[in-house]
Amino acid sequence: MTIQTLSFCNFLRFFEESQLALEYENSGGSSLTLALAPNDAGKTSVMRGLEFLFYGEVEGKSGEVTLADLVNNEAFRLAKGKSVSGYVEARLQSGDQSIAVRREICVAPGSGNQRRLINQSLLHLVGSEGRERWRPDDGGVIAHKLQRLVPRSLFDYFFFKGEELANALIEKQDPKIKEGLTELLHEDDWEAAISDLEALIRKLNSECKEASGKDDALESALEKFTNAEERENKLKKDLERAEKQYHLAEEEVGNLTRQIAESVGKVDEAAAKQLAKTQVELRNHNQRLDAAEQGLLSSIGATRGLPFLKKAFHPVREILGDLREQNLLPADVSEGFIGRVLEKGVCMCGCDLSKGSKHRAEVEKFRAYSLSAELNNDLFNLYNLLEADSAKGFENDIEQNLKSLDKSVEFIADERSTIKKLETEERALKSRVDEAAQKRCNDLLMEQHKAIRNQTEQRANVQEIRMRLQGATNHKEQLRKELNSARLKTKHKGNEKVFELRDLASSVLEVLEAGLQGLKGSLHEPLENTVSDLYDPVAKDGSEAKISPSTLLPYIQKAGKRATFLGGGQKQVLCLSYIIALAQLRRDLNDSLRALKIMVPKADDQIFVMDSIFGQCEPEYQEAICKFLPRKSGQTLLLLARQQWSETVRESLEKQVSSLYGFEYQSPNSGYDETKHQFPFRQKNHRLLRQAKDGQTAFTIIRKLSI
Amino acid sequence: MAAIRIPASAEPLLPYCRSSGSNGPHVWETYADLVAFLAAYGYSQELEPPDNFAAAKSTNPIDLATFRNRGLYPQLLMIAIAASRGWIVAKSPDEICAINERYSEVGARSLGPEASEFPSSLISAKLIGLLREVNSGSCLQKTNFNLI
Repeated sequence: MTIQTLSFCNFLRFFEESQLALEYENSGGSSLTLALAPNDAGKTSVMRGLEFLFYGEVEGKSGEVTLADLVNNEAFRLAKGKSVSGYVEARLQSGDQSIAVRREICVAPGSGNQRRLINQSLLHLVGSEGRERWRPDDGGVIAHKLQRLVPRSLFDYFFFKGEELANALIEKQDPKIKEGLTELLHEDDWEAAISDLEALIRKLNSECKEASGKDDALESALEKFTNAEERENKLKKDLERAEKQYHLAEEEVGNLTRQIAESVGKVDEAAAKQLAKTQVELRNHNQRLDAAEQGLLSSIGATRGLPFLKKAFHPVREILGDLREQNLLPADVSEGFIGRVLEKGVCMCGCDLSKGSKHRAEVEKFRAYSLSAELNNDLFNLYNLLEADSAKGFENDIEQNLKSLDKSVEFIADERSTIKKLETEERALKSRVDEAAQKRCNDLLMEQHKAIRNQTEQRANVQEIRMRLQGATNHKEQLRKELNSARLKTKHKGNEKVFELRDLASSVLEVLEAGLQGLKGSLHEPLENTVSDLYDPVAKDGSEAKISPSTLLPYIQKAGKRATFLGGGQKQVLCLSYIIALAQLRRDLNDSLRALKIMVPKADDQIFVMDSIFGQCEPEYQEAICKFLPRKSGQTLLLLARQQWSETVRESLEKQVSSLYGFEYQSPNSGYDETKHQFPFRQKNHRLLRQAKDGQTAFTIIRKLSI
Repeated sequence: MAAIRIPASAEPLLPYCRSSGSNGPHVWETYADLVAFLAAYGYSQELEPPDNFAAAKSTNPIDLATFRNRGLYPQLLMIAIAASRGWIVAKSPDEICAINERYSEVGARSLGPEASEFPSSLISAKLIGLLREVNSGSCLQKTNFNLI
């Protein structure tokens, strides 16, 4: 579908009536209509106008408030409380047919500053030339026709804002494109035909059963065959579902892989690795420090406090030395021996030691200074421990313990210094590593792991159903032979016609099913070829355009790898290549379907209305877009703001433009330097920004400019 | 059988003994090691041991045999001899116990009060500081370290 004329009257930014007559060229010439517009002058109003015309809504909304706001503010102001109308009108061309449609809206002031919607209506022009009249779309025939000409799901791809569409298609891999592709293939029409045929076959099955009622063998063979056929059909549907699940799983893995690649790009891998290493080291050193600190405490305990007693060593050793000199240590006679002698009352020499005797008092005096065996050992042991040079003495013990403490203290000091260094290093590394990105990356890896497992399960499921389907098909074919044999043998030949009809319906169904599958499967290759033809020659970095077999969405491959970061205009070029390719495929597919007598609306060249397609584009890609755009599509309306009307764009596009318009914007704001808002085109400067008169609101009038 | 009571002022130090079952840090293995350490430290303070002694309520007195088994008896004996300036005290286990109890109280009073609030690094620093004081010629004295 192309557009011959597009008119706006009191619609959004457009005041009174403005018209764009759009160029169309299908023989290789330029088809570019260029509209230059200052900011706010109404580029978006063109998109919304088209949406309103086709579907009676804007940005997916159709409420009264939304619609009432569509009438131009200046027209509403000048109506001074009376009702006022606005409309969008277009003359559309599809194949040999031409249709003029207008969607009108009428509003009046409501309460407060609100507007009240009086009505909206879709009209079409009828009558012979010179006697044409606008008639309402009774029965919604024109509305249906419009929706078939530009399916809702394809609107955003044919009438779009450059960068937004490129982001949705390529960055976000917008799943909505699937709906558009379904429309493109007319899957609904195919499926409706298949469903009708299945119903017919069911009806014919019961007629066949009735016809074979007199022949038991034939009836039984028919029943077995129809059962096998049902089983096969059920498995086919199961397989289709399973394949869909598998493709979804595959898509998810692809999406996650892309997201991981993007996340990894945000992680400084070297720093992250070093950080992980440093953190392990830090943990180890902290553990060692904890152990060393505990060891130090134990060493302190192990001193038993002996170092505090050093001052006592000498006096105690002197006391014990005296004992030795007196031969009391080691004890030559034990306290126990003296006790036993005293108990006996007689000395070994025969002296009397009885109580009260003189000798007994002497011996008892001696016993007071004698030592028991245990005390002898204790004191002798202590005496030895106090000996300065003894290897097992206290002095040596203290020296060993203090050495051990020194080592511990040194070790701890070293560990602390190491930990301090590592902590400084850790802080520096942490600032280089985006921890959030790393966490996100780890989460994505886990999700990807799950998704891959799911994909493997789905693949196994598909394979299993395929095998079962193969078995069911073989079984059905065997039963078909048996049925055919029973049909030959039966004596009741009169009803053979119904069997033949059933066979025919069954064959047609198989052809349709295979056709739809083939269509779906074969879309990938021509789509990829067309996108490549458009993109590859203009790519400056040797990259190639590819189409994902599972999502049918475009991506760029460079040096055999999928490119994740696209910038500088690559995205826009790829996006444009993709939608132009889609439109071409749509046209070719429709021709093929109509040749097969599957009735779909005629789809010929497609108009593209593009807004701000040069945003964030490097000059070389701007140049590339300018070169291929006017030649590759039959009809293009390009809307450009001043900031995108760069020297490169101007030089590349000027010669290609076949029709030029300017959106003359009357701005109520003052203080503009109007010269900065002029649009140079060839030898002229077009002044498109003007100061509105006092009291006027902002509005735009479309003017045709000479080229 | 003679036994040594743990002074009440040593209660804050009990968790530093492994046998208390606390999570640590641990300086001493048993209460006996703690008491012997405190008595040694108390003796080094050269203070007159207090006459009145308050025993810790949370633990029982420790039998002298336990000190013998831990190899701590010689130093208890040495403290008793040094304190009484004569060996004869060695003949009276009860007297040995009484002297060490009193010195352990002196030690606990000097170490104990703030011990419960010490982190491990602080208690080691304090103890090492004490050891350093009494061993001015040792390596510890020469080592320049900062434990805190």
